[in-house]
Amino acid sequence: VAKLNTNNDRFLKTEQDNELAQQQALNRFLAGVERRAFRMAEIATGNAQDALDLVQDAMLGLVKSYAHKNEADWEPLFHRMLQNRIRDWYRRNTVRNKLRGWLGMSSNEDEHHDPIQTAPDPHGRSPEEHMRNSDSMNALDSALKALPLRQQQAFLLRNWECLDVAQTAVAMGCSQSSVKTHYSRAVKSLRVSLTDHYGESL
Amino acid sequence: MNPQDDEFLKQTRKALDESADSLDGATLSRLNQARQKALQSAVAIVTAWLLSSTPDEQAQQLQLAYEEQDMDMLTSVVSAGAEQCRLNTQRCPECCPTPYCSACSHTAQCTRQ
Repeated sequence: VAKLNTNNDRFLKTEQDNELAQQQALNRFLAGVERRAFRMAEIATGNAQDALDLVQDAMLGLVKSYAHKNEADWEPLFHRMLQNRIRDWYRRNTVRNKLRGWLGMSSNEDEHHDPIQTAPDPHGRSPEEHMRNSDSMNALDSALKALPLRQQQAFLLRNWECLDVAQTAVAMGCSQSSVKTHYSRAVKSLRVSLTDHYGESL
Repeated sequence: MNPQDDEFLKQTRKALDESADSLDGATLSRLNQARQKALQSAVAIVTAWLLSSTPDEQAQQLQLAYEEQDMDMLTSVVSAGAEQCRLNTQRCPECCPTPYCSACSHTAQCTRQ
């Protein structure tokens, strides 16, 4: 019995150590992906608050359902959860957005000025450079928002998250050929929309 | 994709990276809170797992695994038991904090029952 208890304690200790290591790995992974995930959700929803909720929900989902999976699998799984939640949000809000459009209301009307936005640029860019980048980013944001959701997802996952076609297909829950089609159309469409902002330097 | 596409994609990536790097403090704080909340839920799951126990019919396998130092078998037995006992775990009143399962009367981890 004593041996049984000793082994039991040793086993539990090993498991606790393993779980602690997994916690740290999860923390690293989520910290590394959260900003881009938030931006993706924000571009898709056009709303920072909803984007934060979607990212948090995806984080909880990953930890709850896939924490035990291989670390290399977390990225496509996390993005699948996030993209599923974005699609659900998109479906729920389609009608509401149409109504909002018909009534001429902007979803950003209630946004307040954020004093943190006026803080000095931590990257040390000049106001002119920042303005140029900001203009480019606004144009890119608008162009991305104008894309159909599937094209937007394919573009961001392939080009920004650098997922390969197979991983993107997992994240989007569709076939690899669909990913290629969506991505190709997205690039083509964005090139046309952003010629003024990115065309000169090409 | 042609070289022009490559350059275009590179520029869009750069712009997106910059937008992610320049998120405001309030958003970063919220993201940090969301991450901590998710990780705390993982701790709760692990705690439930560690406090869970195995059913009677698996106790012999468990003992055999201990004796043979078979960690793979031990893991699978305990994991299977944890699935069944997760919601039924209680503390042993006599040798707290050793856990046991009230539903399936598993006492393999409790020396006084």
